[in-house]
Amino acid sequence: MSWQFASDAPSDSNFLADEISARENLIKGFLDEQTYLQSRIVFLRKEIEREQDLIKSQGTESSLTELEKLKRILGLSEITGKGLEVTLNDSPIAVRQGEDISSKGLIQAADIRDVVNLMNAASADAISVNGQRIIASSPISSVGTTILVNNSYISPPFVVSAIGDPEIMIQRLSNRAALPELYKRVQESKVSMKVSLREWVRIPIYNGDLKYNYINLVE
Amino acid sequence: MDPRKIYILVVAILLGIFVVAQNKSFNKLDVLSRDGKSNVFQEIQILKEKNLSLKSEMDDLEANLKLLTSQGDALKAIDDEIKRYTKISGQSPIFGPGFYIKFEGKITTPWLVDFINELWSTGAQAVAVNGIRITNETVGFDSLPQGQVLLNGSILSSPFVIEVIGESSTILGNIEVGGGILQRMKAALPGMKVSYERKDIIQMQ
Repeated sequence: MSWQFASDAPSDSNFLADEISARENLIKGFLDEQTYLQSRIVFLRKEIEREQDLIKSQGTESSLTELEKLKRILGLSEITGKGLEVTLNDSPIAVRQGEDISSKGLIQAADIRDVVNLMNAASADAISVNGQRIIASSPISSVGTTILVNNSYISPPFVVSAIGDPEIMIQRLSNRAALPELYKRVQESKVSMKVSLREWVRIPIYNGDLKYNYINLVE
Repeated sequence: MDPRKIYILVVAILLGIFVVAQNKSFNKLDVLSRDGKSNVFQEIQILKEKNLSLKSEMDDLEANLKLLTSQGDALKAIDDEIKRYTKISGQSPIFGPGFYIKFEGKITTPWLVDFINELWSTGAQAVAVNGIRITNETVGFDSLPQGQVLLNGSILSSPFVIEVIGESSTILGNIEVGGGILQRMKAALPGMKVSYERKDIIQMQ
């Protein structure tokens, strides 16, 4: 009888496993929805551009030229050109899942922010991180050991792609004083950083939302 | 050996150990403590809010596409889109409700980058630092050899006044939370003074 009770009662570890599984399913559901919404937004922006090209051919040149300029500024047009890629990776012995965020073997969101800021300071024309277009309001943050760019999950290796003057960008990246913590961890072989010059880099259009409901134009 | 000398030696050794430990803990404050420690509830909340924003953006784009494809409304759709993008591009002066936050004392470039990142992350719609609006065309933060902060080719000095347009309660609530960005900055930058004020109207160029 007592054995029967013991085997029927759910153990704490079962509860924990169920809770983890429910949490993973919930997060997966949100991520699937996010992927769908982002691809739909890219599709709609391309469709809008196609329609606008049609209208342009019918002769409303001036306002469309202004719109195209604004889209370029806001990261709503794809850009290709000469540039570089910075690949940041965790230590081969570090395991991101279950690891403590303060592990020196993990690339931190702050490392990516610093590299992106450095590319901006080097007047890069366009930047992306693992295919996520970076605009002025793009947050680069972390939840536990997961890194989010534009509030979307990204996994290592983290590739910062930038279009701009490669010489200026390389010069900035080579300055150890600009990235002291990252260089220190690279030197200790805790993490890795690789910079590659590229003749052709493609930066995709921004696939997120643009918030403006609190902003008014001074007429 | 004189017991007094032994005593001084022991105190000196203990002091040495304390200084090394202190130094190590300050070093640890650098990159590893710049990001906050979030939990699973925050993770789910971020995903939920992100998807709601994406859904709203998708609805706007669908409405815009519909207008563009209907003969008489196409030009209006283009004008609306220009107006919308002008608000966020930094090409025209803007105003809106929000707040300003003032930092007095020495602040390093990474902490300014982190603070502004946190503002965007918590819903800021427009941000300016000492009168320089942060847009896609702003040249990023830089440090000069003497430690001054450079933004868009201008040297910034204390006080650093950051103006924000957006939902003040949500943004301030998030940055002030225990373990949040303000607490982390105060821990890393002793002596820094912080004050803020909500405003009905914040103007930016």
